[in-house]
Amino acid sequence: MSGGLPVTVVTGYLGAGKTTLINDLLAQPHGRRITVLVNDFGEIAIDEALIVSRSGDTIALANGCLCCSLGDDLFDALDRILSAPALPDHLVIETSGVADPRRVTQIALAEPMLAAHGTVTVVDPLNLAATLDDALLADTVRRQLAAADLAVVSKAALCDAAALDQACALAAGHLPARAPVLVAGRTVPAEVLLDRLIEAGGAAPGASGDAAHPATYRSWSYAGDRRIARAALDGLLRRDDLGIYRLKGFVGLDDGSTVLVQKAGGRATVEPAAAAVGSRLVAIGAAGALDPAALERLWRSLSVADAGPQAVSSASATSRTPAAMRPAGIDE
Amino acid sequence: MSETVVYRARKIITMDVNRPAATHVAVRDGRILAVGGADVAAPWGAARDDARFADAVLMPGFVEGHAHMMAGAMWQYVYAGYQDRHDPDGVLWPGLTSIEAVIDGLCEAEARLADGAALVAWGFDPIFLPTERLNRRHLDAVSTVRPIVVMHSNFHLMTVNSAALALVGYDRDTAVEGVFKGADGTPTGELQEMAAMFPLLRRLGIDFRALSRQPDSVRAFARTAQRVGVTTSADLMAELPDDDVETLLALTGEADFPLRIVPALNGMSDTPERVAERALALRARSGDRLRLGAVKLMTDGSIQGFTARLKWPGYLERSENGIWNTPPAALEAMVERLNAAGVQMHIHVNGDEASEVAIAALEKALAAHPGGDHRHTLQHCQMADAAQFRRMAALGLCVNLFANHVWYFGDQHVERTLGPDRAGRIDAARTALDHGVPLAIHSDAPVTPMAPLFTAWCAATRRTPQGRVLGAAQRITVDEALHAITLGAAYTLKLDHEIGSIETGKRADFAVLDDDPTAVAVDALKDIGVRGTVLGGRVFAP
Repeated sequence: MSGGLPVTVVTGYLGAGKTTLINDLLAQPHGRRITVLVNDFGEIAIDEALIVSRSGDTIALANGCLCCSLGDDLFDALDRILSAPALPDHLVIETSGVADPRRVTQIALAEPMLAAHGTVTVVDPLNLAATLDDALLADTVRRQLAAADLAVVSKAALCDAAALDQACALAAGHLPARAPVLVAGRTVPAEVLLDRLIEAGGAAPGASGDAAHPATYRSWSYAGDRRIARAALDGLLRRDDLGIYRLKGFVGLDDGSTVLVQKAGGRATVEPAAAAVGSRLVAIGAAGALDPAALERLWRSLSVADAGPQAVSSASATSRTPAAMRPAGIDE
Repeated sequence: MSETVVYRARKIITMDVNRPAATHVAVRDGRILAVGGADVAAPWGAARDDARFADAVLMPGFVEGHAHMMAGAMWQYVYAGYQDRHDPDGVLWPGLTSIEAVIDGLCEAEARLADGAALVAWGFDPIFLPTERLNRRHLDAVSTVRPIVVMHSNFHLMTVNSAALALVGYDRDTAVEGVFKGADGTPTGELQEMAAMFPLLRRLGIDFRALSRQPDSVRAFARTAQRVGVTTSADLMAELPDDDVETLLALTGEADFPLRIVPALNGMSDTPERVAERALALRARSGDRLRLGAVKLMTDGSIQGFTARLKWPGYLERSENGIWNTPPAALEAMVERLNAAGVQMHIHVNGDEASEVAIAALEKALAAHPGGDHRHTLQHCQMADAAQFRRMAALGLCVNLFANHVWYFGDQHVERTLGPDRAGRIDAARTALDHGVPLAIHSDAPVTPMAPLFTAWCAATRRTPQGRVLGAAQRITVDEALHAITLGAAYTLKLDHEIGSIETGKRADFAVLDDDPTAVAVDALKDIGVRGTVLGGRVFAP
């Protein structure tokens, strides 16, 4: 059911960086009222300035987001959310460190009021090899990787390049072909995390059995204040030689307005967006066709920096080939 | 001075080595004053003779070491199981032994329902009806407009009718793992696991856990226990918010409440520090018939659900291992903290990898904070082998084995989950006793019916529905089994100084039986009639 409340499942073993990802998501200017069901309420560390109220198991933020303790029973928590007078715009469920995320996704697929948007698996590059070597945990972690529609590699800044490449290669061996791997920079844009990563019915986009669907992906993303002229944007969207399979996000135009941009296959739409959130774009394409570094250069040549502090670019890459994991554009 | 009452019985089995059998028991102030012959009360002054049990056999009130309050709540719905079962009021619900009988039973119940209400049944188990799988078409014959839900006995599956499927929009396009489809591509009506069941449960307002906390459910649970001779039962996982504690204290404080309840706090509901703090605070609020302070921890799932954590070679029919409910590292931290705080733990472990992890965690915790009469108990512990029992003995752990499993799931364990070798040593009561591990055996009601004499029969015979004796070497004697359902279980609840045997000073808790379990053929153990109980000197039997 596409009309339901979108649900994104965030999984990963204990300490992988799920909470950091969620803290960061809540603080982003995404303009959505997100409700996050978290496992470890005590770990949530939201900037006090953003908090408007706090009760036993709920923190309400000024931007309309809620952070709720999942408590002992996910179903109780879901029932409370679905029975409330107003639904949020998006529901993020952080699974416990040992949960099988497929089970949580099944709930979103089964409940008509919910719409499964996919599973984000957070991968800790420092501990991945150790957990995969632990006989008690290996299958748990493999299941979490196998369930991924998007893998986010955390703690890149704490890792040297060789170790990061190694961890990415190790993760890639357990990830499904549909799942892009994002090496997380300072921030993973909400548009990337909350995007519909799977189609209604649970299949990956393009995984409808056609042989042409690429086995590996790369992605490029940008979050910052750069703006672009409408004509230049239209030109960019018309290009069919960039290897872009899907492109989505908000783009700040040089006239000060913001538009919502979506491109899937050859079809692109541009709609006025209510909230001015700067430019936040993500593109996914087949490995070998989409070149994140080239796309980053193209974007920078077409757009101009807004007056104000220099924007932070966060181009990231994905691939089965570890060597391509760290493109020039990666931050940190 | 309070009255002394002397109960005369055909036989009194005391479970006290000093006087294993007697004919009279004197009761004063709810406690056992003396045990012996007709002159038992003579040294204590005047006494009133009571001959109501003259033709009955008395045993210590049975102790159910692992059940759930939900066992009472279920009777608000229609019973649709294969075996005969008595409801809390003693009404016999005959087993429904064919699909036709299930349909007839549901039609009868349907006729009594108000318009618009859903028909909810429970206790169904397709394993006993192998000819045809119950499906939505069968249930559509009962009603095409009223939603019908038939919950299976394991609570992991349900079969529903077309009206129920329509309510949640399940159809041929639904792509949910737990929504089973037939050859024609449409849902069969069978829904597996909570993900698939949840949308229907919430639309029909069915919430078993909330229901379990209602006073009526607590009373029904107590009557269920009373009917099978149980005077003390654990409720092995409770959230225990203040409101619930108040309700339980008020209910168990009523003079005619027939059960002593030992709830174990959900240990995964908060940080180990706060759980320890709450458990100690709860302990201080205990009353005579509500004993608080223990904590329940989870590790894995169930063997029959393929979610228990198994060591090599894993499951017979599945290559994947089960799931952890609690990460081993987190379990270790919890066990360490709770043990240090002096909180008793009941740890759910089904598979042998789960029991191994729990034993290792306890080993570490007890090395850091040794000593003390901890009585940490591994619950279910169905696959532990001799080596694990040796480690448990070394640590002073108790075990509460799921003996009913041998009957209810034993054949499945041979054929589908474990294979004959490991199935033959599930719930290894013999090994536990041989290694000196204090033993209790349990029903896990409502997963299987609460009935300690049946549980004892399972442990003593290890029979299965298909006629197997599942692991003859693990059978225990009737005397050992009777110990396990009285003193043995009382020990795991830290109540053996008060209950579990009929001896001077203990609570006057008795099970009133039609016959002598030590005199009948072992196969007849499960069929001995239970007339009721005496709890704290108050008679709950005709």
